[in-house]
Amino acid sequence: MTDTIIQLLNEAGIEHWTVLEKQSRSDELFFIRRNMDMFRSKDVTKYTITVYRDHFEKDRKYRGSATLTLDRGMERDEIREKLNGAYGAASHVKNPWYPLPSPVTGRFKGPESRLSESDRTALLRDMGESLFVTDTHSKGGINSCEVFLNSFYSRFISSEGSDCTFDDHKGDIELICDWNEHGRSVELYNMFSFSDYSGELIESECRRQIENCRLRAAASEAPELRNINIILGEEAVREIMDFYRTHSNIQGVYEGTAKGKKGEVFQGSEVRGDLIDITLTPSLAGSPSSSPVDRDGVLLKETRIYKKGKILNYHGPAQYAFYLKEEPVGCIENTIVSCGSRSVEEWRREPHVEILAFSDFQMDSVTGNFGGEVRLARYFNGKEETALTGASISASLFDVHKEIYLSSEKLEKENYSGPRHIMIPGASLAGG
Amino acid sequence: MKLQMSSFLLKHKAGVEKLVRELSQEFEYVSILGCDTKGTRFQHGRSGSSVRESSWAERGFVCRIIDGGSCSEYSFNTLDGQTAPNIRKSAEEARKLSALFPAAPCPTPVEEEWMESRFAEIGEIPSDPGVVLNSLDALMQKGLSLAGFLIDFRVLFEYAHISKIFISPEKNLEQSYLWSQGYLVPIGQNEKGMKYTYRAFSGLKGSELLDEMKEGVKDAVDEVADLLDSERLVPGEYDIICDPAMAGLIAHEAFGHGVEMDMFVKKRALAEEYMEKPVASDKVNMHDGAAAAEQVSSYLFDDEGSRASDTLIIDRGILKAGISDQLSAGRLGTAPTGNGKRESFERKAYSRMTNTFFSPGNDSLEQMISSIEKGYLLENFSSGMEDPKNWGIQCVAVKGREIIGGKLTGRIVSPVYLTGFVPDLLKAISMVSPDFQLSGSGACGKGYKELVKTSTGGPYIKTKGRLA
Repeated sequence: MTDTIIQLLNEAGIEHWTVLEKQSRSDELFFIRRNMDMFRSKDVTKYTITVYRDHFEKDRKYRGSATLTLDRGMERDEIREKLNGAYGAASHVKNPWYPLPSPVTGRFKGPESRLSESDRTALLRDMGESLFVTDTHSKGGINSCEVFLNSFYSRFISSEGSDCTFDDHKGDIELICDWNEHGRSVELYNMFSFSDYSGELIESECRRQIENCRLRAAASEAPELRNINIILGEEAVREIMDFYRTHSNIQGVYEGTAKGKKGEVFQGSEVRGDLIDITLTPSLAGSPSSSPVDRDGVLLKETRIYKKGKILNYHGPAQYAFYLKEEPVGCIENTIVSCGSRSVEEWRREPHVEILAFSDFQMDSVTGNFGGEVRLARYFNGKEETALTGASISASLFDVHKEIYLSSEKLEKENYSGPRHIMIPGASLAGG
Repeated sequence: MKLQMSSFLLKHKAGVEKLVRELSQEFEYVSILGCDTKGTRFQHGRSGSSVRESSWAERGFVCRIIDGGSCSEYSFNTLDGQTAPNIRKSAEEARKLSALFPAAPCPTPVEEEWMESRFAEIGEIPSDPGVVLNSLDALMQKGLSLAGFLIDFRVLFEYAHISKIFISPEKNLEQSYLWSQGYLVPIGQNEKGMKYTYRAFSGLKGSELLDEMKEGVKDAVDEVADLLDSERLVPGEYDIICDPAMAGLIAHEAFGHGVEMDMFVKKRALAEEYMEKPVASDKVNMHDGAAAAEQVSSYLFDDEGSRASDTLIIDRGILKAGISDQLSAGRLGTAPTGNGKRESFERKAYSRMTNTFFSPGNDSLEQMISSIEKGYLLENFSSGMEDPKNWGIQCVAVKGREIIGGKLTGRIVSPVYLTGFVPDLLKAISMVSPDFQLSGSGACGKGYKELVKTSTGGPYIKTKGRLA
């Protein structure tokens, strides 16, 4: 069908275009406790086409574009109609002219992955067994679980001469664990992704979540706490690091919503805590977000964006790099953050609240506001430790990031490699 | 104009019917849902515009097989000679897996014969990109002209024309409807930082929604002005008034997700134990249903071929009923309520909300404000999260207006995190206004995935809440 699309693009007189063919196959297993709720499979191929149209208005040159999706098996007349419709729409889009990325050719092969195995029954059996290894408690365990094994084949072709293919794989597990004790029945939610099967990863996620449920069942209502060190972990840390990505994104810089300036320390001039150090990489072990090219066809390479808090490079769409006369870095999804020098164990010796689970941690990267309801936290008052629930935090990262500390312990999960914990000194916790 | 059914689905309908007939010879239950959604998303801002296929666009089929107590589904977007073998292979895979992981028994649905087609009427399909982008540009220019502190005024308009067929041995259904949504997103900054807000518009409407969006421009810009001068709230418990948007979010997160009956099957919902018991004050009535209101989640049949309904969830404070998909209803021995929805033909169906709202009451907003010694009027929402097992709630309001001594002081706090225990919040509802607004912009997830269209809303409500 790709050949038909290209033929019809040419027939329609569309000079500049990109075509992304994506074949998706999936096998999905849904559990209620240890019983199979449903098995699902999928075989879907789609084509995402962007057509570009150059036009002039008052001596200014514009490049309009429109993006459409085609499905496998679509007939020629309908494809032609959709392409013409999109080309017409592109003439109304008045974006300053920009060049399309240089051509990329070749077959990019990702790392070996068990998710590519054709015998999915064996793979699903192994994943199911890994899931239930730690589910051995009488008072709680895995309530329900959903396993998604996805394999993708992608081919990117452009009018500029790009023609590259790549395979990738993505596993997702949604995990609900619960615990019944002390007259309470509680649960916690988790969702994680990976690009290769790892029994160790699945078992550790299950073990940690079941343990957190046990703690939540014993947790007491949180008091209001002021001037206390707050330790954030995993998901919240990753969300916070996205704030720094957002403020070095070249589209945001062009539009005025990203506040980072190349050559300046983004955290300000009198930073008392750790300075942020971030590198973006197109390929990260275990990451389902690895890709050799971005959606515009930019060939991606490892790029350092923050060094000791200072912005070295902007990243993001090539279109905006052209507008700002920067080298196109493209859209890179994997983030590597340098760890700090202090261990979380040092912070745990001082009075602190360590938040283990939020109901939904919210990080508004534009305003810097972050916060959420605490479903589970550990509070150490200097003498003893108690589990807390029901509190909430709310602050602005712009207010606190002059003094945040990154742990020396590392987290490698999905598209992130970096500190596992962040410590914010002297913060407040609203009581439950 | 009356909407047309997808020609793609009509062309393949006979083939789908034949496939269902063939497979029904081999399996206890077979159904196929066919989907064809077309739409476009237009975005415009100071730095440029974009035109993209709507993220809700889809075209394909999903076949469900129930046989021997286990259930399998196969999603595909090509109907050819390989389709039937692939469906059989998927069912066989399910059989093999059920030997490793015993299946949670799945009763064969008992269906009554039902053949019906429904094609909605709208003003006009917004298919001319030049007209839409010019309208968006006019909205942006008007917004930018209203305040010097704005760095951008982004506008978005999207429509989705949905066509679906559902074929099973007893059912032969067709429907076609269209929704549109629009956003105004002014972004402003001053010496204190950058703030933005949004005004959302939605409905079973076409181009006419673009005209409605004009009415929200000044209001949206004024809200950014409020936010730029806003302060942070002192955490604590306060008397609060929630505007219809926040009230709707509370309904959605508290007893919308909380009564999705697939959660009953998994023993994940505390609500199951509270049926026929008080969970809110006697001022509270709450509904959900694709037939309960006219908004983006109103339809004839759901993604499992069940008829839309209007479910009274809370009746004068008493929890009365949940909402369910077909499989959950079968397992619980109840009737499906027409709430089986999929993100797309590529995803599983779950019990999902449709149009969820508190019913209006008799207390005016003015009476509510004057009754508060110290509290906040919470307006507009940015996010929410459910906790059906433990009835925790987190709703984030864009802003709160301070009330002291029965009057608005003009002081604004932002953002405002409303958290707490759902029954505490609902039992404290002491006043309900006669106003009623529903909004169906955005998307609702189950956990962090499975996005579907829902609408929420209701009147102003007065209650007590823990704010941070």
